[in-house]
Amino acid sequence: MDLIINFFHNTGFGLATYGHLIMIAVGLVFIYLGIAKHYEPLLLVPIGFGILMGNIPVFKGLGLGIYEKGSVLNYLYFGVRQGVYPPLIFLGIGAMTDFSTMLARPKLMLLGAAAQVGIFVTFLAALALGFPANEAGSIGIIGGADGPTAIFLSAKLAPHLVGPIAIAAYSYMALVPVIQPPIMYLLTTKEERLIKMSDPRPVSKREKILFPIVAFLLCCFLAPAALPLLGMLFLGNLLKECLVADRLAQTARTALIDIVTILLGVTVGASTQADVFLTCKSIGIFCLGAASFMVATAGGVLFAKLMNLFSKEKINPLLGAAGVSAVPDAARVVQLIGNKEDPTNYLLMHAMGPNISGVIGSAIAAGVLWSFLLK
Amino acid sequence: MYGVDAISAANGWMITVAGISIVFSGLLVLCFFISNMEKAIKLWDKQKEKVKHAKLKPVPELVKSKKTRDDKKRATVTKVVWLTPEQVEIYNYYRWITERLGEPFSLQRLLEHAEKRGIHRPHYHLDMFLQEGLIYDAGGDKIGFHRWARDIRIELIEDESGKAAK
Repeated sequence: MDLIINFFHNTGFGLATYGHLIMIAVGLVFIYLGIAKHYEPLLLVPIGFGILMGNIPVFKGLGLGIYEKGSVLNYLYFGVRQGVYPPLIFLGIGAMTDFSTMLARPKLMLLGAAAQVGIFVTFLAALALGFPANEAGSIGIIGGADGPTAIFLSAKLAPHLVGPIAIAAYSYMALVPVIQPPIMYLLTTKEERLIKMSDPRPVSKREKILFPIVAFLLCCFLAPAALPLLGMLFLGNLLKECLVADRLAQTARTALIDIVTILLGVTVGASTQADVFLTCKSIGIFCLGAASFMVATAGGVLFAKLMNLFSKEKINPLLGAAGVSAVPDAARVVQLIGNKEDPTNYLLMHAMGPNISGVIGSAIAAGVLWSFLLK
Repeated sequence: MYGVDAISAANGWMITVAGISIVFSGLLVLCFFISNMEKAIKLWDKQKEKVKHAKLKPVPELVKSKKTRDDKKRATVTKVVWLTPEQVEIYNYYRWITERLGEPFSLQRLLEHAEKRGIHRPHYHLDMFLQEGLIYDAGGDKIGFHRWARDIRIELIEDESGKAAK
């Protein structure tokens, strides 16, 4: 009888706490949102399942948990801890991104820069709330709306917060269609939302080939700490555009990015063990994360309005919201709202410019924060 | 420590101002570069064209009796086709693809490669090259396969208004 009782105490049923059950519920919600609601399923399904894996109560010392040295999950978590996965994801993103909309209308890139204000305002807010500088920087980067960048920076500055920060970043990225529209409506008039953009000029192949090389050199000379992310992003894009390395580009944008997404999703999910995740800090991170998304959206929209004061050709200020680098959701939200006001107004193509420059901007911001805050 | 004191103690204001400035200046420099990239490429093409034309200048009287390679090249040209910079670029890509496919080549395979490489409006451009005679049916036992015409010279249209501007 004692043997059976001992066995029961060592099972998940015997070891489970309320914390585990809450986190399992969170994991199930993620899986539900991914499968039933189609909110970022490629991310939420692996992360959700990772949360389940990380919150199965296990007997400590068996070498099963993600934080136990030598466990399989711990080995896989190495890629998160050392910032290996995010640059590989950026390689895939580069290999699947067409920069031509941005190249056709470069001034829209400034909207991508303006939206990064969210990162720095949240950084200040986190400092004011008592977070240490390294944690504040990691929280601020949630406003960049870029999961890999957020994971990369928090792995460098505050590795103990990778779980909550990644979950917050991906949750809010999935919630972009809910978070952004009220701010966009609040900050724009109907007339502004009706502004139509002229057709972009065609971009030559040579421009597309030159761009990743020059952009890489310029950005990395300016913010060398952004090298791992921007280097891989632009390498991926060069592979895509140069025509002669099509096989590599194909691998980067399909198999490689898929493998890394699975590993990243599962390990980030598994890193949210109840005892690490269910803390007051996590609540603070979630609140600040939401605020940073809102500030970033507002920053982009207001900057577009500011640009309209000085430029002859008016920009639809909704495009500013696409500066938040959640690709392509933020651009899709701009299209939806613009299309709602005027069914003949197609903004998606134009919104991709600030959207992609937002990715570059958030990577530069991450590099800047890393170099300023690394102890 | 909380509030403004915490921000000041962590150098928050300085980091924020410097961070925003670096992100803005980075993207601003990139924006400036992209805005001028098209012009720079056009200028490069112009210079290249000038060098090419300079090479094709009439040969001096004394050596005219000797037939140069350029003379031979000009003698075989029977038609001139005027293309926009975009069309020239796509023409060059099609030439590049067919170099790998080998001549005579299949139009279907050429289109497949062009589509895979994201070439702008591949069908339209192929149709235009066929109509201009830049690509012709190989005929004979290679019927259904195509070749590039060797006796046609490509000239660049300077702007959208076409040949008239030249």
